[in-house]
Amino acid sequence: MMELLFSGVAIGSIYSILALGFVLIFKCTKVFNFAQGTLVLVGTYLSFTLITDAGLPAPLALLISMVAGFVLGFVIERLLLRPMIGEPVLSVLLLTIGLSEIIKAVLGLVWGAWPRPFPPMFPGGSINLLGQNIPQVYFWAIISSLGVFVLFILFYRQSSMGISMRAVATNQDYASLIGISVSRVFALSWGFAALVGAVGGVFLASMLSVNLNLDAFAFRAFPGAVLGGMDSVGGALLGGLAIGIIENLAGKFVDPLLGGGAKEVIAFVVMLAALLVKPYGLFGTEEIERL
Amino acid sequence: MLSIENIEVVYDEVIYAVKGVSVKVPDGQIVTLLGPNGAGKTSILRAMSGILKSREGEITGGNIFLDGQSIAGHPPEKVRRAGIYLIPEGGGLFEDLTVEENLRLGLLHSRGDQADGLGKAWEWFPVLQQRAWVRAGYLSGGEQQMLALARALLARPKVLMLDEPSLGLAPLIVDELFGFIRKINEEEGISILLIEQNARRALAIASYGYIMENGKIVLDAPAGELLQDKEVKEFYLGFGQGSKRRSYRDVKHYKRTKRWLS
Repeated sequence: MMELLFSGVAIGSIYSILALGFVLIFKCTKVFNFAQGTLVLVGTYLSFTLITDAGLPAPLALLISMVAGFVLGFVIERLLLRPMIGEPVLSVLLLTIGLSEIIKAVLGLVWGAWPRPFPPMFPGGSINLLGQNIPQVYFWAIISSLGVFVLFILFYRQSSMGISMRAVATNQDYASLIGISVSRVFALSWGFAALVGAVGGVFLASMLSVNLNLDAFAFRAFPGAVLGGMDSVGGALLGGLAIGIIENLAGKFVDPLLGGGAKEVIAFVVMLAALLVKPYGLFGTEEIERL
Repeated sequence: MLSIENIEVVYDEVIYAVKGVSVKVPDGQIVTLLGPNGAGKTSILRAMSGILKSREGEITGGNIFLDGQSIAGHPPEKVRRAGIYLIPEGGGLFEDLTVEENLRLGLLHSRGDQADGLGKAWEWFPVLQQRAWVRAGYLSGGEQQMLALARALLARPKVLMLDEPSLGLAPLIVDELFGFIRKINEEEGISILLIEQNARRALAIASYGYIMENGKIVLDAPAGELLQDKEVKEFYLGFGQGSKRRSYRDVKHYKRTKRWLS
């Protein structure tokens, strides 16, 4: 039982990082980014190549991928999303879907579609934590995820840029009146989302393998983002963790009853149930509209 | 000096909201723009601060100069950086952010002393310091306007524009607020363009006043003269025909909606 809980927290912490990618973009731009999964892929493949082909040490490769991801997100916003400001939401959504397909196709062309093992970033074996033996990868996933979240929460609470970004999330007109460049905030949000996507992707690949279907895993983090309220950083953390734990428990206790499959869908069932009770998620901003 | 020259604003390409208005705000002065609902006062402020576009509006004629530089049609963040600061109706606060975070945003692009930080705001408005960690949305209406003013004070613009700051506030709070507006003008040397419906209070602190109706300026004069003007007295200040009390039945405002226009 404890073991299930631990691996649930480890998977959940990766889900949290992946969910954070959705949240960072949605919070400021109110766009749901269907390309988030492929942004995760880009970071993962880049790290993979840097480690295996260029022979860089893993932490350095991860760092470079994060920076590259940031630049990619920034550029995507500038070139593709900027002209779409003010256009209907549906058009923007379709644009991100199309973008996702294109990036995936390019990745397939460059790296091929077959799965490959990710070079081990962490020493094998396990660490003894609270009387439980847990694999090193799990341990580092939890630590990095917490690190990422602490950094982002501090950034949003303390730095002028972070406060400006929250101001844009609250009211774009007022933000521009006070001198904040709303378009710069949008571009930064995309950059950050791709950056955390790279982190999540590398951990995901370390546990599974490098393959083109990792983006589907990113979407399994989506219920975590919704559960947390779509626009709350802390909510993404708790939502992701909850989904990880629930998935593991469902895999252990529900799968045998149904003959499998529950682990894959339970997150979405929980999401739907949660939305019925709390339409704005656990920590989402409640928008009250008077009709 | 801020000068608006013959500005025209059209919404949705058909609604002609401002029909050639000129307003001057000389350095260090308080100028007020008065007029009933729908006269086009807010449209002028939007045109100046560059947020017309998000309201489907457009400047179709005229120009706006700040110290000789044209700022018409510039995006809002650029106008702000040029030194014009608008407090929109309701204060323009970020309700999800705390009082302190709202104030910190005032320091962006401030011409004031950054090293002072929020000190000046706390000094002027001690009430806000006690509530530094409260979300702005939970402040009372009066406190929200104080916070909006405090943020403008930190921003140290050349020209501060206020859109109906007295809206929905108790008379005592309005007195206090107008005291602060005058103090910002006198002690900080910030020129002010004040848009109001509360004509008496606005004219009391302003040096010059414009009266707007149906998208045009119908009357402009030094504030002292406007306060004495017979028609202004009757329609904006609530006196009419000497000090004799009249029955509301005789007022018949509806018959005289086009008051200065032929």
